[in-house]
Amino acid sequence: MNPIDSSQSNSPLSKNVSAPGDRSASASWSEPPGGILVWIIVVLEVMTFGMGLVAFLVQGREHAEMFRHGRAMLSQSIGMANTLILLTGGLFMANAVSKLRQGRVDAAKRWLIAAIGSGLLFLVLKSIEYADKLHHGFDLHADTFFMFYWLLTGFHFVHVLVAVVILLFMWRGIQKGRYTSTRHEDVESSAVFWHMCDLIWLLLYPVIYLLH
Amino acid sequence: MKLNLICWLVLVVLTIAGVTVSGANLGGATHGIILSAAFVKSGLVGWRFMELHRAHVAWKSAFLLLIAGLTGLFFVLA
Repeated sequence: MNPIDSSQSNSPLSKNVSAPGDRSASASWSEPPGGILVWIIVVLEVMTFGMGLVAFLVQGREHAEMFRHGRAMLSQSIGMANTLILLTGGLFMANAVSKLRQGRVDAAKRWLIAAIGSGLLFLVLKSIEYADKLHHGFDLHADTFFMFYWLLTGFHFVHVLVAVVILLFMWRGIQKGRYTSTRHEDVESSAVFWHMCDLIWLLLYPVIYLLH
Repeated sequence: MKLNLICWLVLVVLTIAGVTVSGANLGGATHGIILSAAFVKSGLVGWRFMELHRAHVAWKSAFLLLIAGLTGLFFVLA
């Protein structure tokens, strides 16, 4: 047995550290996975983006032809690729947290690097899409559709960028031994923030790209 | 990790299904299918990746209500 694997330890001390299965039995409303603060951020962010999408749809009803044309100008292939990249990054991050809890630090770091790489790939693809839109004159002031497109996806872009930076700090923390199988609350919180970026995109993508 | 992989596979299948439905001419059902897929995908990310399955029932309920409320609102407005 791995001596630092809390999930397999029977010592009384190990009952007080976070490990899979430990919390589920005694889940407290004030201690969601990753901590309550990051979940307050998640709820507020999802509501903010949600209201932005509601405003987008309301405007779409008033300017149906403009929105139909705007959607036709979007790159469906890049939108779908970015969705798959973010979902894959979510899998990598979930695996990183799982490995860290098991005390497999090197594996955790590899999954974390993979998650960071997927985030960077998302940003690169999105930048290519943005450059294409600007090249064709669809900037923030082109029309109402593109104003919402830039504000909603641009704000999300910034979130992914921030999440990548946070994960880099987490990788550095694991590298320095700051986060271990028994001490990884920050990594869990960062993972929740990372997955929140997935979650928001899963709402943005169908509404902006797919609803014809 | 196996459950994470299964969850990811379901998410990928639902994403491809959503794009396929969007490109097909299914009439009034199109929006419903796309937004239902978005609801299920958001729920899966929350439940599995964000580990809501380990959270208190209040967080599970609040999260599902929030996602259901938003996707429902999108459906009404779309």
